[in-house]
Amino acid sequence: MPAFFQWLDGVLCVAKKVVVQCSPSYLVLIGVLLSCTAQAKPQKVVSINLCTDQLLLLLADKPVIQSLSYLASRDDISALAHEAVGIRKNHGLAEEIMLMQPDLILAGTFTSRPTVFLLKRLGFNVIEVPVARSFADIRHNIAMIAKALHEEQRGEQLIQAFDTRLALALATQVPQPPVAVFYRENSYTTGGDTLAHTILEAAGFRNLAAEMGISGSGHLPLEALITQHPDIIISGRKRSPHGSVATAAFQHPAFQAFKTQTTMVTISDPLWICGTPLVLDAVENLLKVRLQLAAAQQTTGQPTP
Amino acid sequence: MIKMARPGLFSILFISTLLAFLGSVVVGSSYVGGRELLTVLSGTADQTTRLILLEIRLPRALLGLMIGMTLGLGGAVLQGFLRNPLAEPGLIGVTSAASLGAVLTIYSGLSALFALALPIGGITGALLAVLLIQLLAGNNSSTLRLILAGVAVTSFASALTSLVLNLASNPFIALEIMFWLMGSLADRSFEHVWLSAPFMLLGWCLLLLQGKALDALTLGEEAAQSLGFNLNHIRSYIVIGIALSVGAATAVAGAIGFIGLVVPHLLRRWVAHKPSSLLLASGLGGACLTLLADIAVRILSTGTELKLGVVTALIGAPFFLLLIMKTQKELP
Amino acid sequence: MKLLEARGISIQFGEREILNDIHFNLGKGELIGLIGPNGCGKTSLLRTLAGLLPTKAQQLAILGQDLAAWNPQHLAQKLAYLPQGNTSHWAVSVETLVMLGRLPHRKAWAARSQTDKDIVQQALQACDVAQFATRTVDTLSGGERARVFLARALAVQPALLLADEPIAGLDLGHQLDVMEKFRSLSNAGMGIVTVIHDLTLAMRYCDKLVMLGGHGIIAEGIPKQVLTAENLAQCFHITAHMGAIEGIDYLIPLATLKH
Repeated sequence: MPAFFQWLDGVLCVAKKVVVQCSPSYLVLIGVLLSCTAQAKPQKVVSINLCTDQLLLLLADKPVIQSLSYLASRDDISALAHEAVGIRKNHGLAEEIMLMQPDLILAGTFTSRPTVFLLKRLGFNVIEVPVARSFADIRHNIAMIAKALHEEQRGEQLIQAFDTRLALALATQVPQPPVAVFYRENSYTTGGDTLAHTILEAAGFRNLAAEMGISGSGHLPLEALITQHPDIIISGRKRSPHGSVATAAFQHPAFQAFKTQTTMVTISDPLWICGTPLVLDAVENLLKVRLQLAAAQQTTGQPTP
Repeated sequence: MIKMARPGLFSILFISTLLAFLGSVVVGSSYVGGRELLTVLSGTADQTTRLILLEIRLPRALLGLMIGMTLGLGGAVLQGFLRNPLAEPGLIGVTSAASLGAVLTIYSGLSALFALALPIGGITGALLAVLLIQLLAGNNSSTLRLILAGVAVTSFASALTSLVLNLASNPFIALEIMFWLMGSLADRSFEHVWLSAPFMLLGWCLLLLQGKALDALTLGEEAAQSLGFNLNHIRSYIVIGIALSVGAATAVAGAIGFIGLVVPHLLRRWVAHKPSSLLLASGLGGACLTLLADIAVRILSTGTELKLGVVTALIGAPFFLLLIMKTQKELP
Repeated sequence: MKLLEARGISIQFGEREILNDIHFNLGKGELIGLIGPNGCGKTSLLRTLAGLLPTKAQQLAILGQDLAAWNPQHLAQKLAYLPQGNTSHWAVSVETLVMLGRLPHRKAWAARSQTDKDIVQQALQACDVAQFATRTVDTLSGGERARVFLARALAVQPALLLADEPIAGLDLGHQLDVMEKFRSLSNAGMGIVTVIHDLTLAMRYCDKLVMLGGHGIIAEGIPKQVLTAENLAQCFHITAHMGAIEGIDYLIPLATLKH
């Protein structure tokens, strides 16, 4: 097959030219140049993750924010959707981000690995913010992003405001906290070591899933739900009007019967997804529910369990 | 039916692949296109355009080319060896094992450490699969044994992958795994090219050398043996060749199906059904088709990224059905 | 030097014994017919002699060299094996298929040479299938296929040819053609062993018959000596009438015997 070898030879010839074009020294030079400019306060910040989008909106002036992820303006998952209006949106692809020539990129630790590594390889300053699971994580992330933005003072102010509000919420505790549980599509529940758990506890509830030993996201069988008899069942907004296999559990006769003996609460998802100071809105909402529950039980004469 | 002269076929394939390659370089999510390519070639482009074309588009196109070549060649070799037009490279379990290896690196968090962690995990999975296959299939060169061994490895690896998805402690990991499994070439860099190229090239060498053996197998195993071919050795070379090349391809891009199944079918009649001629033709055809699919991915993705594996399945499955219906009509 | 010498061949499939302690010789220019009832081990013996079935043998030498010492490709240049069934897994052209017989003679990366093409042409003509050269194998009738596959074996230009029922399915005219071809090839020096069911043709064309049965060789020698009423009864459980017409011997089976 002489034709094959000729072809291979040609390809290698072109490849050699290409490799010379992008030799490592060339890239290092660009990297150095870019990192030099990164020492100064970032003027063009791009965020490619929903949670960093929101923290960025809270910590930076609008002119500095060059782009947010397209998820930021969806009001079903973004708590700051209305504030994200008018800001350019991105889809997290290296090419479009490159063209914006940002001096800082905010990403999450679960943002597409190839994209993050490629951006770093091209010399961009990429900060990867971890998923927040506790209030300590929220403080850490705020500080991390504030530092990268050279807005340390604003970060501290935000943290202080957060702590003050949190203290108020934590102050209204009851000796016997009621039991709550998340029960979502596909019998999905959130147990210990999650942001949802942290919010629940701060609002003065016990998390049934955590007490059952579930850590992270887990599965709660309908049977367990009914036998454990929590005071409150928390679910999200109904997504599909016609139901689905995922919501079948909610249609189950056992669940329908059980519903009448407990309180169903619907939460607003955007507040619960990301670790931002806005989680305190969620805490305060739940606090109200808890107080209502306590009041209702007092009037009916039933003891709080 | 006009029978194409073979030099004509290869010219068409070369040119198509070249055009598809160029297309892959000039199509992308930003405005950078043909004009910008000319500026780069003439040396007058600015930094950003240059980087986009040489560091984002070019490795992606190269990977599309190499992976397509691997899948087309692997499919042709396996169909020739098993003498079964339904064989495809994943049949011997390499794709599932490579997927499992990659998925485990995502689950364990190793993939976050450095860029090549994930592909290395995939290649490790593929190589372990080879060992297992050789053990299971043994010294027996029976094709049935090889297929059964492949099915066993695929089932086992798929089951473990499902288990990992099941145990994923947060939805982000589960999503990352699921998206990776659908196959994608988005934002790959030259690091991926340098990692996978040696494996793929080695695999190609091993596979292309089996051309004559595959021709001899037209007559059946015994006649092929009597023509001087050692079927055990040939089976080993093929398994190792596919593990290296398809394993590396899967490790870098995820599971991309149908190319290895459909391309040999499409081209078989144009090479007069001769297995050895089909090898290179399938390789080029696979490269061309993969590049075209990757171009389609970029043109069609309006918001969420369309995954390459999904597009190849969407193109491949109906095509395959059409082929079957056509051959049905041709039967007496 | 004998083309093929075998001593003490024993063939077993798992627990089942097929043949025990068989001796077999093939000399230059010999045309040997291997006959016997179904299932007696003719194909297994042929496969063993071709080196395709690893079995216990005291000695198995081809062209004077032990089978184990042969380089597979060199052996393939000297020994052609024509299996039953005439399977072609792909619908290749007749010429491509016959060209496969030249594979043992080609070096790793070599393309087909003019010599190869000439030899293939000769083989096609010898088997009377030259007119089908560009047709695909799947469009041929059973008999035409059989001749094409024989042409493939002949394209090897072997010193010995081991054929398993090469005339099965051929019309009478072509059966005679093939046996004539075998005869002329063996006259020219090729050693041929063929499994054959038609005893008349076997008797007429073969130099020697080897009759298998009962896990061993019942009789071997020139046809007249082998095809006795006794042997026919023992091996095939038949009675037959033997005669000659215009100098050509024939055998007509008459009736089956109760076992």
